[in-house]
Amino acid sequence: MTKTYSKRWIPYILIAPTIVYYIVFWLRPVISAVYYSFFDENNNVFTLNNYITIFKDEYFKQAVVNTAIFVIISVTLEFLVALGLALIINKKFKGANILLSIALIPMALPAVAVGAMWSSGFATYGWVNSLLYHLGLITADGKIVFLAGSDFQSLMLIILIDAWQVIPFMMVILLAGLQGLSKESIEAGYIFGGTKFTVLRKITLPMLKSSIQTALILRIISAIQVWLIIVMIYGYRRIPVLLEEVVFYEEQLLGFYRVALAYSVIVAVIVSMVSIIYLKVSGAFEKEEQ
Amino acid sequence: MKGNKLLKQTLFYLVVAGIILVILTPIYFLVVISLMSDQEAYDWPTQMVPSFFNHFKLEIDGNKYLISVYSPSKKEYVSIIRTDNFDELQKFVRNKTNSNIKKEIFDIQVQKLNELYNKNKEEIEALRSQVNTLESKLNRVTVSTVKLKSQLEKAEKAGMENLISLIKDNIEKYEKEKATYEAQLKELNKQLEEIGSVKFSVSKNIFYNYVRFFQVTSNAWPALLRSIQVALLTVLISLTIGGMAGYAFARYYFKGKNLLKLSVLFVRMFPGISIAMPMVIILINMGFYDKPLGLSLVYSVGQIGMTIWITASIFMGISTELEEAAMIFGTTRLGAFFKVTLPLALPGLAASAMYAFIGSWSETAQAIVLTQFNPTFPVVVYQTLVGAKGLINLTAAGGVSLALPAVVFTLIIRRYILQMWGGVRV
Repeated sequence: MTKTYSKRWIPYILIAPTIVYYIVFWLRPVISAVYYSFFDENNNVFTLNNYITIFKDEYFKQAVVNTAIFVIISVTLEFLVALGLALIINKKFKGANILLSIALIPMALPAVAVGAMWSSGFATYGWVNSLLYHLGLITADGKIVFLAGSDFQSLMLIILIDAWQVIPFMMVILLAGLQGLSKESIEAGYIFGGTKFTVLRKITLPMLKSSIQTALILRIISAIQVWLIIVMIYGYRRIPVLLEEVVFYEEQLLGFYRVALAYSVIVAVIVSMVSIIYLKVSGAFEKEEQ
Repeated sequence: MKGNKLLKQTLFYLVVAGIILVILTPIYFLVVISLMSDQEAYDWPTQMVPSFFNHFKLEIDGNKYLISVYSPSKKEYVSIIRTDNFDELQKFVRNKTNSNIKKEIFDIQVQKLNELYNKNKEEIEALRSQVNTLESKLNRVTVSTVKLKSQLEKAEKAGMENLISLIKDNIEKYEKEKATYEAQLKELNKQLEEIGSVKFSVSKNIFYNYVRFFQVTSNAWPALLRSIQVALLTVLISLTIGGMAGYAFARYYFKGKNLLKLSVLFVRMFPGISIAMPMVIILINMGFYDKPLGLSLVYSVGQIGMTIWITASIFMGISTELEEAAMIFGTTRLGAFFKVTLPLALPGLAASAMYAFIGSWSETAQAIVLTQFNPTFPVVVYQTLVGAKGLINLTAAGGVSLALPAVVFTLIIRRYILQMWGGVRV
């Protein structure tokens, strides 16, 4: 009897440190951030001014719109390319391993290195224009001014830069899922006369569902929180996005610490809402309960 | 049919080659720029390969030396400095071109130059004066053209047709004149170069930017050591705490399992940088602010969840039957874990440790908020990148030094990365 009794407690002992850690180093800062976001910085009186400041800020609306565009386009684009890449590598052709190794490099690069890479690239006198010139695609006078495009073009440029780094990460998750699929069912699909496309759509993708969910939810969460790469390429407030505004209030302005906290709370609420909606719609919760 | 297959295969490999090019080109250029001197890095178009030698041209101008370096982009010599002080010249040339001109070499070249100069003195002087007159003529023409162009603008606004055509004619005349002067000047300079200058090559210190990055950015070395410290502490914290939970996931059923599994998502929903802001105050109270331990405590929050996912999939891959067999032979459950499961899981755990190491090593956003006087290495690179005095080749050198360990570690654990994600189900 004692044995089963102790056995039942083992998992709780094993997970206890994690839970304590989360409470001390995650829940506590979160609660204090939420709490202080409702209090005035100078006299500690309850106030909604921190939130009102944000909603009155003309950059807020723009930040929401930019973030939304960024998330929708980048997640779609990155998912499709990552899926294609995973399917290619999964073909196990000669050199698939080399391709995988190379594809992992962008994922391993620190954000700062990526920033240095592209800010030196997209400068008017940078290496992208030089490469185009060496290839004979532009003349010396025809240098493309990448960083001076319209707001929408700038956002697209950021999406491309970001995709370059993030696609390998999604690809790894999808590829891991693909390699775990049973060969028989896919082969059965071909035996029953399926074309490549129908097998992919009717057999491979449905079986890959949970990997797709993992990749998408992790990506959506991090896509809403994009900021560092934008600041490194364009600086603050050129293309405002939500988290960039948080950092702007925190680092660049004095005396707006609590506004920054309030902004964080807004971002967290948006991220949670989007993720919960996603998890609900995609059915991840139901599956867990089975 | 066979041809069709061949075509398909070629097309397939072309796509693969394209993907590899897209991935590697930016990395290649980052590395190339990190090996370039200031002079090369700010030349346009950027060369496809960094140079390993610098070709210099030395002239006597008045009683000073004028030294120029060959620019492959401009295909001509670009003057660097005009001075009579060797130490100044050496220092300036080193900073600009990453070449160290030794005193002996310089003396030999000066001697040669003096001989040459004495031999051709009159010709050189004559050519110089010709050059000077041509240059002043050229200047005059340029100024007049600019003036005429502004007049043309005014005339166009006013719509004075005959005046416009007159001005246009004049501009055309001046521009022709300018072209001939330029051609003459080029010819004269070429002659002058032949009889009045010496040329010599000095090897370039290809890794000079890396040396300089650590010299110029005074806190780069301590920051590097600090980053390693932070990363190791993060690995220690997240692997012990997360590894325990991971084992529980792999072996037991318990209440709230699904919730804890999703915790890695919930933790990420509150932006990391927003956690960092209140953490500043909490860490100050604990006495860990601006210290490696404080940073690793914050980093571990994100890493623990990941470690749970990864270690759970590793332990799941080791069958329980082995543990049970060991227990039948009289070991306790704990003994079975340490004697059987842990040794088998070790490679996977090492991979998970490396994963946490890379995550902590590369993290920039939270470190910007959480450090003040003791930045980590990514923060130092970030500051040179966004800072006003940051030179792009120095920043590139910093970026490459930062990226190299992360890339090497990732490639080492490549096999495990796939295995890790294979067991993950949201």
